[in-house]
Amino acid sequence: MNDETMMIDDEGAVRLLAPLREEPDPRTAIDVSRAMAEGLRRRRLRRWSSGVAALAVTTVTIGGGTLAVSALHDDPPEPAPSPTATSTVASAPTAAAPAGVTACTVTRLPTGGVKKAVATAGDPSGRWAAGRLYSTQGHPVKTVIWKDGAIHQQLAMPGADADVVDLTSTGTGIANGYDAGDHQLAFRYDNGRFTRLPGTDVSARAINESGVIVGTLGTAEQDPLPIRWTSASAAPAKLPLPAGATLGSVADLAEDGTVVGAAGPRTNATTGYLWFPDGTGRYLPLPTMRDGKRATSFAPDAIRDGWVSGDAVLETKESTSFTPMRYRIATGEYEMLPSGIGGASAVSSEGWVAGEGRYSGALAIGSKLVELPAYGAKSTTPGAVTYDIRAISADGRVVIGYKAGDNLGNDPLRWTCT
Amino acid sequence: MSDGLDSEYLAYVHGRVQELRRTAYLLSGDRHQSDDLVQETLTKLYARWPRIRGVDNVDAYTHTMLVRAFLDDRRRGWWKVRLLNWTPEPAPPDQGEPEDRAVVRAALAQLPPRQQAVLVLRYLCDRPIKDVAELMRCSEGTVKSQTAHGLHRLREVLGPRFPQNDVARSRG
Repeated sequence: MNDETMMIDDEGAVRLLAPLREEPDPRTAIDVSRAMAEGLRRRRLRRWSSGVAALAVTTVTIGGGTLAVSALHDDPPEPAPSPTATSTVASAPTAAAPAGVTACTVTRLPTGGVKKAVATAGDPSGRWAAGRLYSTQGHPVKTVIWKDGAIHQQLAMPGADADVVDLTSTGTGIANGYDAGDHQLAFRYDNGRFTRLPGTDVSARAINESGVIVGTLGTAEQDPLPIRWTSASAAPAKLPLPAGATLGSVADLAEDGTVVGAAGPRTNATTGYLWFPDGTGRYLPLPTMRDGKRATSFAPDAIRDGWVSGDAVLETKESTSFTPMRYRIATGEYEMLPSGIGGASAVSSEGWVAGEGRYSGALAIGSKLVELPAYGAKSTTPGAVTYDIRAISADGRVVIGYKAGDNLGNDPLRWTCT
Repeated sequence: MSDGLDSEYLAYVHGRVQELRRTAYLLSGDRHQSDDLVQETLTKLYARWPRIRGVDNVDAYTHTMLVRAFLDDRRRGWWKVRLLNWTPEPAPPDQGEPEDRAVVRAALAQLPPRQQAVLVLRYLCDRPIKDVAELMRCSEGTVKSQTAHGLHRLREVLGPRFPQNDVARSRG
């Protein structure tokens, strides 16, 4: 080996390659939140293709017929997607169609010619949506606001890597971005303008129709703390943590002011928690996983009109598994969502839960599953194409999200159901 | 959600993303491809985070994933589509400035993917042989032989005008 080393002129090699010694351009398209969403999807994909998926075969699903879960294989080449696709909700042999939903249609939200775009937020009325238009040829990524399925506004992002995360029915919203020092800042969006919310190293998570905003305080290195802005100009106040808890975070905010999030004594030991408008609060109970095991935690995603949606989580040394659930605050009862919905991202006033399905988005109405139509060709491998579901309208008729294919392309999508 | 896990992941990514971007850029020489490589690496990292956050050397694990993503892409060959858009032909043997970035990059791109990775990791990322062997999941001996073969081939592609050694360089 020494002989071989001697033969290599390391210094000469360094000089030979020296012209390539450059720092990367500071502009970057790296999107950590998308990496996390896609990474989470892959964790779940493993679940679709493992034991849990076997349960799905015995489940009668609406519109999709029998789901045969086969071994992973490559998708056939995709034909050019049509702008809209419709799936009719047919009656399954053993289940009546859910009341009120007969058909759902998917539309790609317009992007002004930009190929890659995502939708990250929607509002309770279903009229508004917001997202990003990715750069083309060196142009910066822009924030886009859609109204009634058309582009309403395009504007510069507030800070780096910014996302609009929630909207109200009047088209105001909240967003987060990073400043030059890599501090996370929160913003309110109103009528074409972003205004910074008070606080540094804060992120806003949800806004309700009264203009109350909830979020989380702390850098990535610090324990997160749940906070609330009573208005866009008010300094954020910490939400009280239960005895023994040292950290917490916020997931969503209801119209009555109830906040759902998580709290716990240390990192990796948090579980679902409710902050009620009267100042009291309580942990959500630990649900049971689909396989009958007791969950180690409950991770809420959304709240609306007395319903909470989220994942029962079973974390072991070897793996983390999820069972999506809905929880009714009044009764304290959990309901397992039907197989075929992989997440519980958003909940309607009636407790309909929207989340990622096997081949597209999915809607869980009671114990029934409505598979939302895929945009473009439907994948034949469960979970092979990401559908990140971000919002459902209060009436459950409009779902906002985006599709992320293997080629790093993204399509912002709006489903409407009648 | 697994808030604790997520904040650990975010803390790790915030601390390491610049180094990952730099390595990806030196490997690929292309801003868009390097972003794609890092995006894919961070995605895989998140997908596996509950399992790997406890391993001794997460950094080595992450960089190994990055190198693997680079090698996979090169093998699939789609990078050629992108390179063709901008890479000039290598300079003819008797003219042109071999020091030029594009020429060296184009020459490097003609090497087998593993040789490209070894040369970049050793001479641009300044990684010792032992590290490179770990990242490439091969022996130190293989790193040395790939280095020797890679340098030889690179000099061949760049042509005779390019200095072969210190003596040649002092003449030029």
